[in-house]
Amino acid sequence: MTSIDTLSRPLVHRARTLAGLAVCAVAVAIASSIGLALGIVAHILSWPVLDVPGVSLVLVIVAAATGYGVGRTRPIATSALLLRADVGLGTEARLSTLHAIGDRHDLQPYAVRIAAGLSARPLTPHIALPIPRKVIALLAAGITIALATVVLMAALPDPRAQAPYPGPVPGALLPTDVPSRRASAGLSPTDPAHAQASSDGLAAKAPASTAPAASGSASEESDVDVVDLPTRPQSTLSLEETLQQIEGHVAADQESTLSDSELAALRSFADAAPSPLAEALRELMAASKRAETLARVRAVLARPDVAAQTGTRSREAPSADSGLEPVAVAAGPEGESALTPAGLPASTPEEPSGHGKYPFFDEPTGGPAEITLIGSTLPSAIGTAGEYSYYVTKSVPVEPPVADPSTPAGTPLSLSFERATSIAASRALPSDVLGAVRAYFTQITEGGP
Amino acid sequence: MITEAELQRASRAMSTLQTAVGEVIVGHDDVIRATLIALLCRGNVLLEGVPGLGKTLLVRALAHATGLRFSRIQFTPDLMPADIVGTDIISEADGRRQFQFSPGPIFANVVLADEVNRATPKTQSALLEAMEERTVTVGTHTYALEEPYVVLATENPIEMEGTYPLPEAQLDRFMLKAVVTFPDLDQLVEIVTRTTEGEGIRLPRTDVTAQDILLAREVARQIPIADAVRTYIGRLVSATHPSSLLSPTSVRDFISYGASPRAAIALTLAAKANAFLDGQAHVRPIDIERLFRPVFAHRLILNFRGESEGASVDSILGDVWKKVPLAS
Repeated sequence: MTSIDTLSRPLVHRARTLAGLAVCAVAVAIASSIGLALGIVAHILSWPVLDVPGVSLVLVIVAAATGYGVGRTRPIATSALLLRADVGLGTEARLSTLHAIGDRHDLQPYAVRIAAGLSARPLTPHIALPIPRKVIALLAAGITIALATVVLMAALPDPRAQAPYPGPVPGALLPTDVPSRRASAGLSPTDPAHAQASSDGLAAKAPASTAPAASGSASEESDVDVVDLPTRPQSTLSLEETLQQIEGHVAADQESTLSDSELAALRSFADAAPSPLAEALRELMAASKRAETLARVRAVLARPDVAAQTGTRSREAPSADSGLEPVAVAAGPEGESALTPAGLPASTPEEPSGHGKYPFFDEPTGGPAEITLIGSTLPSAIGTAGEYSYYVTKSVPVEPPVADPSTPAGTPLSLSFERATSIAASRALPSDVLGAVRAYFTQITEGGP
Repeated sequence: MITEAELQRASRAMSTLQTAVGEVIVGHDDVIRATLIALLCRGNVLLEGVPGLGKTLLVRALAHATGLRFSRIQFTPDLMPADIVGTDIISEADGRRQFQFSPGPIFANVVLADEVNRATPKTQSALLEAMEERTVTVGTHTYALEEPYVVLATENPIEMEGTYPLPEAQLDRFMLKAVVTFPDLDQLVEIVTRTTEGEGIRLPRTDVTAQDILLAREVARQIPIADAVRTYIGRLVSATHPSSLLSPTSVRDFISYGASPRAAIALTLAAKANAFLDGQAHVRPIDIERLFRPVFAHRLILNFRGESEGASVDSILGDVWKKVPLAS
């Protein structure tokens, strides 16, 4: 006759595993709930340093391991366990009764009969002690919540990219001594500052060779690189932008003429435009050779009524009567940019002053782009720490903080984050890239930390 | 220590007795089983049923089959305790007069107390000592009753006028309460056939002796029971008390007093006897289930709300059974 100890050993082992699973399930459910709550709170409060999915996963794994260990070491009431096994196996309390008889010799005639009833039945532990549904449900719920936390947190935008709009940055002037300062700072694309800027979300396409050394310390500044931005949909472009795109692509491609989409876009503009402009556009559409197309595009672009067809965006350039006197201009490679006396570009901040050659926004693909920085020295009236230099590219949407036309030269400018956001949105920028854009503007207007 | 031979002998004797009584009584297997369990466990049975269902025949058949002494007491309102336990009478021997004890009908092995609730509580209580202690005290003398001894009392559930409900203390001394139900049509036809043809009913005679019954009693008492099953019985008893955390809502609402520890003892012993009668060597959960209601039914006391709302003890016991799981 097999002893009850031998019979019950696998059952006790199974019971320990189940006890471990039971505590593990509770721990996982609690930990995953805490992880989810943590994620929600972290997102609401925008805790930038907390990696919620990672923390949640680690929390669940640690809780599961600890719970399983604790559960396995809990004491087991053998008689009750064997009765449960009896119920599971249908052995009518034989196992638990044999355990109760133990080594009592006076009950051996009974024990022999009971054991005889057991011998014909396989004592399969997983049938005797199945995993309780409650445990399965708890485990499933816990794992589901944990996975949902990870997925949810990954799907939610990074709180760092969702930081509230801080408002225009005052004091953004156009410094005039960029080249010399850049040279004196001795920065190169391999500087740590450059790497820092890249890690902050600026996908480095090309190093900004003219990045500023605002405070004179190379470690406190960051280079501004050009971001590879998605091309803006044709349907959202204004007439002028469309023409600039056409000019760019026709000028770049020796074989090319107008594409179907460009023809369609021009046709829609022509239908809506007043008669002279519509006629010019139709002539452009009718051009069959590249040179002719290029010439007609430029001719249309030169028309004063093109700006009136640009849609919702303000296209008013600062006028000569703004009271601003010309200052030094660091022209781009093509030399098409001009600044107002206070450092304003000749065109409005968001308008491409170089016929579609925004250093930041209008270099979607291709090789390294040059960012032309226009620098000026901050007047000593601003700030308390001495000389500050602020740098903006020719396409940075700056605006004078004071509408007074008599504003003297050197008056601090402001970066218009609203305009920058508008431009970025019109380019269908993802939210994380918007964060990078914001960081870029912040860097160049604050001159580094 | 019980030997295998004794175990087999006791098992064979009870099987023979069960068969013999079953041949006389048509149906009522549960009542026969309850009577045998009481015999094996040194208990007493309260039989509830209308007259004419064969209760007396059952008891007589049991006594006749085992050669045990049988007596029947018809309880009436004017029945006196002395009519049951006996009395001292003056006798004259060798020219001297002296009191001599004349034993009453309670001095037998199998006693049928018919319609026990018709006698006054004073007379009913004359049974208490015999039922529990197996002794009878008259005056200053205490007389031991001969074993095996069992009292089977009957109650008529429909004629309640002029009756004296049994006090709780006496109810608790009945190990089991068996309800004798009206036979179904086939059983009724069979009863008519057996009693109206041939020689009529012949009481069985077997070779089972009182010694065999005492041996069977010993064997049944030794039937092992698992600790967890014993704990289960304890939980069942606890759940009948309104103050227990295990008790269902119906117990809290309608029960004044739950089952006593004597109920736990009775259920354990009855389960052992039932397993033994089934030829098993250990107490099974099914033994508990079969005897849960017969052991507990007369031990739960309804409170005023339960009485006024007509709460059923049987239904409440069903709630208790559902509320307490076997393996937790």
